Amino acid sequence: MKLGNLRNIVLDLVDVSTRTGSIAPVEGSERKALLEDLEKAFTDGSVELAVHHLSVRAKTEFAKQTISNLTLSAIQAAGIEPKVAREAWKSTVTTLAKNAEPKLNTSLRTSPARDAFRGIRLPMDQETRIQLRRLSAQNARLSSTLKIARESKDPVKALDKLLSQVEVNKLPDYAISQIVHGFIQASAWNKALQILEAAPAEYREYRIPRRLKAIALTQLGDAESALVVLKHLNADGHTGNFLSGLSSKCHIMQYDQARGARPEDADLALERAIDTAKEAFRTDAGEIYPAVCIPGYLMMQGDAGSKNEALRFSNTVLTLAKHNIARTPTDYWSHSAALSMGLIQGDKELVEHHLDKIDCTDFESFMVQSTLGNLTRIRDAHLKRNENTELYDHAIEKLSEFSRPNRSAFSVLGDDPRTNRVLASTYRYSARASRRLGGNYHLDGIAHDIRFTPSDFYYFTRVIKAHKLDKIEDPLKVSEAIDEIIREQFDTSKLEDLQSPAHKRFDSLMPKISKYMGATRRNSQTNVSADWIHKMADCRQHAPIKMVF
Amino acid sequence: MVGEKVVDSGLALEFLRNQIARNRGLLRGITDAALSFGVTAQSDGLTEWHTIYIGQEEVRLESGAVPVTFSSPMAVIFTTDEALSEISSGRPHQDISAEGDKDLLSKIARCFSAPQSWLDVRSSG
Repeated sequence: MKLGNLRNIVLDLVDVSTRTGSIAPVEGSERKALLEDLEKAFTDGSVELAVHHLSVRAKTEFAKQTISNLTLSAIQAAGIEPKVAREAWKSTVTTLAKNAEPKLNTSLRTSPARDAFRGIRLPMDQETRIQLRRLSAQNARLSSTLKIARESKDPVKALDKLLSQVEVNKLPDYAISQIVHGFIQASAWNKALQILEAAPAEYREYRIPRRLKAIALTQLGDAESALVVLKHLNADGHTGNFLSGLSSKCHIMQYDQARGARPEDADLALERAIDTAKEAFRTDAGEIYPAVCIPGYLMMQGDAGSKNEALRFSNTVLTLAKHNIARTPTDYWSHSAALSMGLIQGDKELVEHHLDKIDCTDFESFMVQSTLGNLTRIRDAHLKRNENTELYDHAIEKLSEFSRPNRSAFSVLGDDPRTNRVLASTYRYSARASRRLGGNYHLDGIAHDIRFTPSDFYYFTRVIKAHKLDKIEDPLKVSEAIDEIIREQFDTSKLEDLQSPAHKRFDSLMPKISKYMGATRRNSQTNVSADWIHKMADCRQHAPIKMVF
Repeated sequence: MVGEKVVDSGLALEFLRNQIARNRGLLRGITDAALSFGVTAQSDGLTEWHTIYIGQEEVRLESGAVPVTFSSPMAVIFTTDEALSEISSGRPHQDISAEGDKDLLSKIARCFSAPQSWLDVRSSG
């Protein structure tokens, strides 16, 4: 909690205390450390601790009293005279104790129509205000509980404790989603599935919970039920390469279940897996998943036609993988795809190259397990036909050795260790808590908050390379070049005249965009790349974008 | 005299925390309790939540409301930043209400009787 102006006033006390001789002069790093201690005390909300930091330096009781008096003056200047405030609060809390309602009792699950009125202020009668306050309290308490539970050492246990005190079908949607995601992050798929099935009917009908249910069922090995969910999603018009990819995965699970005892069922499942993976690829030919599975599945079919098709298709996947690697050199999935295609093509050099590169990516064990499962399945099909599996054996053995517990997700992002250090201290995993620069929405302005995520980092790295900024050695010339690039991108020369049609259009368009995007004074975050790509910015966005460069 | 100065909500809550901490001994029978504040800003109508946790060893102020799973005595106070400022400046305000444990609230009221200076504990220690 910030203590506003008081913080600044008491920071001045360091100077005053020194000048009055209450504390010995503090200079250099010692002064910096003292200021940091005071800053932290105020950020933590403790005036007492701040005073303590100063008074321990005082040599005499008189000096301590002087510091105390100065601080008290600062507090009074900030609006509190302790004796008067104590009496007012005593009277207030005594009245509250007499009139307090004993129990909060409001349903947490509100009508979705309420969302339509978000941000609109209406005059309300007293009873409505009380109801809204109660609802606000219950939601705030629920949010606190979810935050604490998800950040705890044992989120599953903490979420279970919460669930023992609430009814899932009475929780608001955001709480159900957070609980589901909490369980998923802890790989408690069965618990996530239980919540998805216990949620209110309207929640269960949303697309994302249905997708999550299909994923949970797949993770729990229930391919048949997952396929039913996916079929219904498809019938409702929810398609896409991810859903087709998931269907393909379910079919291959059925293949695994059938391949020993029911070869005909296995062949049929394999055929369906190939068909659905191809369907996914047709939906989005730029996506590497699940296209990466197709050559392997074709190889498993084993006939000459399928093998030829596998080789042809592997070139397409390899091109996609190389394209992705050029953009994100340390992406595990791209290297594992290239490795798999190297195996399909029997290219030992390619296999070795990507095995080495995988070692430098930031993989987690489940990723390697997934690749190992696919490669082992293909290897087994070759073995069954008495074909050479030497290269597969080698790749499987080497992949099995990879184990990286406790690695930061951004510990290895590039070849330059300095960049990696900066990124590791700048970003949090998956940009869930991305850094942002504040705009001026809270002051009724039109400059939104700017979010900067790893994707933006990669995007602007490409912009820098495209403009060859990395080739310029003189820092001032780089600065000038960046200014020119930004002005050119945003065409800001036309916006210099505040009365120009271009500027008037900009000023009228930005609030409309923010309204459409649902931006609020509290949260107007938009990725920095969005401004750049849409070319919607003026001098207000120039500085933050320059900082990104 | 304080006059019409506006008191920062953080400072007002810190004042409350400090008074409760200083007079922790008056909360007899209370080993663990929480006092949540929903403070609505007059400027934009947004509500921020803060909680004073009263433990055996310390009284601390944290962001966020008290969790649903908190099973000890608790009370929730609904108010505005303006009301917090007014009360802290010695001008009782109507826009404040509470729900929860009456016994806890009446014990907390006692904490505002003692006449010590706000800054005595650490500055003299």
